[in-house]
Amino acid sequence: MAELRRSSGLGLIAPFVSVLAHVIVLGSVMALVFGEQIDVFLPFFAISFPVWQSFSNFVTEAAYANDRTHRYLDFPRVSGSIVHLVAGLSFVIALLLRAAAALLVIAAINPSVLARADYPGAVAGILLLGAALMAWAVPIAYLFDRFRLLRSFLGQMLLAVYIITPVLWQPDRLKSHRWIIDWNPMFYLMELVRGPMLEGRTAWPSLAVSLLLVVVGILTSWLLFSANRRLVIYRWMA
Amino acid sequence: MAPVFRQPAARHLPVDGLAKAPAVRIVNATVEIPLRGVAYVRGATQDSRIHRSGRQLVLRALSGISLEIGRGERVGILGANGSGKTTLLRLIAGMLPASSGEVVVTGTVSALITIGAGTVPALSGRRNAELRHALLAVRRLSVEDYVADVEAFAELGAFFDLPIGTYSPGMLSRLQFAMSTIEHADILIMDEWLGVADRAFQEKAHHRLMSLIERSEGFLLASHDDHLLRTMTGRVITLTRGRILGDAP
Repeated sequence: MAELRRSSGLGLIAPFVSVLAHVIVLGSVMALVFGEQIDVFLPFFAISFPVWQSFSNFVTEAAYANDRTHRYLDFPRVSGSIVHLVAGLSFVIALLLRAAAALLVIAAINPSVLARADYPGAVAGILLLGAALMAWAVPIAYLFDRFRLLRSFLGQMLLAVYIITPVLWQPDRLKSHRWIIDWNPMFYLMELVRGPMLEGRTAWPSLAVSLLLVVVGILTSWLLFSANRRLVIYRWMA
Repeated sequence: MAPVFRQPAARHLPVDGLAKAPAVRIVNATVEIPLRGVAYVRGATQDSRIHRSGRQLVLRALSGISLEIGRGERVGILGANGSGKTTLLRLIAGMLPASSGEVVVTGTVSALITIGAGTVPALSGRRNAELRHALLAVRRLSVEDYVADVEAFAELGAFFDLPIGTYSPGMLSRLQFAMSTIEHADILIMDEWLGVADRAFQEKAHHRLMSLIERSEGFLLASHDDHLLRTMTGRVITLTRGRILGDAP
């Protein structure tokens, strides 16, 4: 929190203000560009954008997690995994703050969406999304440390995922190329929160893919744990 | 990466029931450090400590070290830069794994190697002290008592509640020293004698260090200073190029 305040000057309010500004400005512009009804598109974008922003922040943090874990080597009684736990907690707190900004926008534009929403389902979706990201934290840390060149392209990779995932555009726009959505795991993760908020329910495929991602992530973490531990101990010398 | 890096770190055992066991027992331990990102250059392997493992250059920082430190012993580690002193201390403290061999440490360890580790510039001295209490897993003192002790010892006044980014280097070293030297351990490890802040504080710090040494059951001090080691310890181990050259009282 203190680091966030130091870098942004806003502290905990930063995610809230950022989403509020983005959703109102970018959402309105994109609704005009795509010729969408603003009272339909803005709620969609207001839910999608905070989820995306939190996801992308978590992945960026995980990509550099080994650097932070290395700082804790001087404290052998503390597990290096604390870095991922802190990132997971930050993810949930920041996402809730961003969601609060999104709810404010939706309340102003189309309050009937809020009346239909399944809030316990959305909270459960946020927790499952957090679990899926936590499960992949070690593999992401390993990948971006073992092949550090990839860190230079992280921004471009996230931008590519952002573009091919329905965040700025609604899924029904791609009827002829539906496979782009069907084979995109990020779509299902996003639907964990978007489904309950916009449709009032969680779709089973979304739940199944997310649980599968959790299991595969844990398995991959287990396989890579020792190799990643060596990367943490012996950093890049040059 | 080569399988030689798959060994675990030092085994740290509790003292209970092992009162007669040596504080530290190292049997034929070798520490190899992969030089990640360092491209092979002609002549690099002319130094016998550097060799290739596949495409990776590897530094053998410690080679076949065998050592036993009894309870109550005060041991100095003498050697030139790059001789492996800090690597040996980190190996004993459990911060670095051995590539081969065995390291068994009986009792708790307090390692004063990088006392600034774990501090966060955006947090105040008080919050950093709370964080350090958690990182060191201090059990003897509650977090309130620990922070009160740090506050009293560091004598930073109102600065204690300001971000440590606002501190002068001397103030920072006072805080780091105070946070690192509260809880005594069975084995105390130091990389060079800590000289901190101004003369008045140095005297206080010296007394605290001496008290920590007296209360510990094992003390290891690495230094270039032969005279300091002869004064502070009863046995001096000389390291050269990662090997023990001498071990004498």
